Amino acid sequence: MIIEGRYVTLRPLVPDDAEITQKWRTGGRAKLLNRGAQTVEEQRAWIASRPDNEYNFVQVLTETGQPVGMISLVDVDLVHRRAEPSHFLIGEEAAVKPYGSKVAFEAVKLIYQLAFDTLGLHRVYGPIAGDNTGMLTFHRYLGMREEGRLREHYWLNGKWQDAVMIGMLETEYRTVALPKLNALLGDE
Amino acid sequence: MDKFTAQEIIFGAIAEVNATRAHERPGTPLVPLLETTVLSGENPAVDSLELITILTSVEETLTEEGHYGINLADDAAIGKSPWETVATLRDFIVERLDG
Repeated sequence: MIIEGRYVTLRPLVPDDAEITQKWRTGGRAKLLNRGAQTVEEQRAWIASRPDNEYNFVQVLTETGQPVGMISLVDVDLVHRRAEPSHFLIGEEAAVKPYGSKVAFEAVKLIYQLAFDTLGLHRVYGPIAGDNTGMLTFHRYLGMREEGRLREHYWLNGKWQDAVMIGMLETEYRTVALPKLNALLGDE
Repeated sequence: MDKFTAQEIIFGAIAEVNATRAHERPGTPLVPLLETTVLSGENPAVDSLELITILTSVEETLTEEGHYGINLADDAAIGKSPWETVATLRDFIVERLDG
C-alpha cells in the first residue's frame, strides 16, 4: 500500500530500508522512543518479521522520493476496530526543513486517514514515555487524550519512566484532530 | 491585548522550547527571540513538536490570563497559517482577542 500526500508519501518499509532506518532509530531524535535494533542486521530481521496486522511505512518526500522518516500503524484489530500509531520518527531533519512542519503533520494525517477512513477503525491508542513531553504535547494538541499511566514501564536513558497511555476515538479524530491538522497544513 | 504583551507571551513559549533544547540536545542552536523568527513555512527555526509546544503554551498562557476558549488552530481561517512567524502569530492573537 502506498499513500501519497502533497508533501510526504508513505511507502511500505522493506528489509532494504534496514540501514537508513537503523541509523534513525539510534539517532539523538529517537532517544525517548523504545529501544530499537542496535545493528543493521537486527533491524533487517525486525523489518522482515513484521506481522500481518501491521502497516509499517517509510516516509518519503513526494517531490523527490527521498526517505526522511518512519511511521506505522500496528496491532490492527479489525474485530475491536482499534490500532496503535507507532514508530513516528523524522530521521532526516535537514531534508524536511524546506517544508517546515508540513511533512510531519501530513504523515500523521495520512496514518489517521488509513486508520479511520480506509480501515474503519473506532479508536487509536498508544504509550508514550513520560519524559517525552514534546511528543505528548504534540498528540494531546491533535486530539489524543490521556487514558492512564503504567508506572515505571520503561527503562530509558538510565532511569525508569512511566508509559503515558493516550487514545483517540473516531469522533475525536473528525472533530478535533482532522480540523487541526488541516489548519496546520493550510488545507481546506 | 497589545502587540508587546502578545509577543512576550510568544517569547515565553519559545523560551520553554529553548530550555528543552538545552537540556535534551545540548549544542543545538537556540530559537531566536525575534519577531522575524520563522515558526512554520519554509526553513523554520522549530520542528513540528516544538511548533505545537509553542501553540499549546501560548494558548495556556492566554487562558491563565483570562482569555478563555482560545484555540489557535481552530480559530485560524481556512487556508491560512497565522503562525508562520512570531510577528504573524502575534498579530493574529491581537486580532483574535480584539475581534
